[in-house]
Amino acid sequence: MNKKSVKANLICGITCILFSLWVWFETASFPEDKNVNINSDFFPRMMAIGLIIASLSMIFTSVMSKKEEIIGTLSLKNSGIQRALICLVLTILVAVLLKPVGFIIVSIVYAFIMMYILGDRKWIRMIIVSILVPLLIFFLFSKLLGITLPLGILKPLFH
Amino acid sequence: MALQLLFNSLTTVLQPDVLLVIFLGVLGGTVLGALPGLTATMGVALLVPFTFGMELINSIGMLLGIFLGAMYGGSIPAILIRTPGTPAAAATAMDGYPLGQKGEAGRALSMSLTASVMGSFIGVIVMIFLSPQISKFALKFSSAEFFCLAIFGLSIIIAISGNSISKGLIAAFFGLILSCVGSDPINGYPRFLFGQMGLYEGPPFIPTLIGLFAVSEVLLGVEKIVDTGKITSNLSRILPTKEDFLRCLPTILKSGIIGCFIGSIPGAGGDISAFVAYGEAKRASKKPEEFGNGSVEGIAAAEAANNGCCGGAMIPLLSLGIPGDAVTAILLGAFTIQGLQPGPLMYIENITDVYNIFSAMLIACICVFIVGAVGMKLFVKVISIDKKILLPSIMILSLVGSYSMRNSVFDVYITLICGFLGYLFQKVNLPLSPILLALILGPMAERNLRRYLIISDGSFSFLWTRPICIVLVIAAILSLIISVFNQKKIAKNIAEAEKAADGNTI
Repeated sequence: MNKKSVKANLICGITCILFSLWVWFETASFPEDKNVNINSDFFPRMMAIGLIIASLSMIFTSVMSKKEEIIGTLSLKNSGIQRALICLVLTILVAVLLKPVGFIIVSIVYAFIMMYILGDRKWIRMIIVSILVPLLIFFLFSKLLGITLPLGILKPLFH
Repeated sequence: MALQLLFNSLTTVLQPDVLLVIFLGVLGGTVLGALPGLTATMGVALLVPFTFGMELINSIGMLLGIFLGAMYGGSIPAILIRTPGTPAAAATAMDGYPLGQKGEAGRALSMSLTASVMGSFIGVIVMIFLSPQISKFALKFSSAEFFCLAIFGLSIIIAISGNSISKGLIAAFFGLILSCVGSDPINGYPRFLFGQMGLYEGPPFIPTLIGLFAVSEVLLGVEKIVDTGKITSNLSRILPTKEDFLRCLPTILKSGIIGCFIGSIPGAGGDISAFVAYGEAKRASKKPEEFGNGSVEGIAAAEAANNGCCGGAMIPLLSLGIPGDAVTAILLGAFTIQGLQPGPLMYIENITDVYNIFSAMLIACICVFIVGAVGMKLFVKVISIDKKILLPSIMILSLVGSYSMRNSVFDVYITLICGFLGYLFQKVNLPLSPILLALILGPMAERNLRRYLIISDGSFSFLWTRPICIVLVIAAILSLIISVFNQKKIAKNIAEAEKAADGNTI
């Protein structure tokens, strides 16, 4: 029995069960129409029960199985995971700053930092790519497709 | 009548602007499909936002071009660098990669292009003839039948994705719960909104799937940076030799048809059809010992089947409104955004749109051939693009794509949340395709089930009184039971194939 995969499956299964229970209690507040026997809570509740059964069966097979299942690492000490989480946080920052600062500036800075985090140290290439890619995407969307991305502080330049 | 309609729609599709967008769609689809580590699903998801602002016919053409291009593009990295990606690519890689290692990458690529295009053609022709018939049959369906159809489609995708039924079920139920977010399909009561009006129409489809399929892949890519390294390959030819072609022709025809029929089962996609056709080609071949060591026939079988599947997967999409696999599920979402509602009624109310789709697909097949032949050298270069440039670019494109559907930053947050969820899901081997299909089929299942139950006063009698329902439910249960046995076999096959290919790299 591979302890790592059982542990991961156990965490996953229990999370799903807790989620289902939350769905069940959340649906209790849905209004009931006395004229029909099936209401808004019916389908989500059935699915929540299904999710609980599927989770239990996954936990059961995982504990019983003799074969080891290859599960990716989720340890926060792993440098790869740290890199992925930094990337996620940076991307959230992009979303937050998208409207106030504007797409072009935010994504240029983002692309540059991301390339640095990914281990690129060819400075000239980094500068060229991080400026060209956002500009290309911006003009592709605004000129060809008529979708203007947020301009932010650069707005005066485009008027 | 039908021929007249087809001819009329061909003249519409052959307008220069429509041709141009189909061509661009194929080009974009092929490039994204050819990027290592990007699946066709992700490629289509990333390119769909480009079609938002277009006219209906242009957007249909571009979407179908992207679809066929992405399916073909996947074979290029499979042959050149044996990227682990979709199982469909694994079948091509089993013979394509060894052949490339022998210095015959040109022979492998040319065969995969020819087989892909012929496979797509076969799929599209079958689709043109079959889907109107199925739509006529489906007109008799009531809500009970549509509910069972949705369940059947879900059971198939659970059965074939991932290596554990319970994990497939978890993914499907999770997706079905997600699909309940938004207004109730019967009485309009807003469910699970958390005060966010952006969720009223349900989880925004394109942002959700860009998150699940693109952002999660970027996060995985950032976690383990793998360099593809230099590719040196001998691209001497674009078309296969006459001997190769004649030898593989029967295999291509047979595999195209197999692929199309497997693709037409709701839920079953290119991966499974490629393996079935590959197995059949090996069984029928005069030189079965070559399979796995660089057989051109193997490449032809796998590629003809996974492209034949495209046309096949469109059959249930168009005639029943049920997507054949994850990629067509995205197409369905994109069609709906454009105001097209696939299903049996489309054949009565919007028959010209149906034939425009047929014609656009035929033209897209030809475009795949032209793009593939002319651009082969370019695509080989695309594969070696540095991940350090690729990953940030894909992430920016994902954000822009999700923003552009409704010009909303809220949708960008949805994308990021779904991306993180998709990342965690993949960590514990939960398959993502069932979530996507559940998001599409969930509202359909709920609406039809509740409508039926209101009429029948809460009785589930349709499960044993309506013949079509009985067949569908039994088929759904059987598919799950059979897959418990088959999955072990398929997992073993893939493991063996990878082992064999690993042996060749060393």
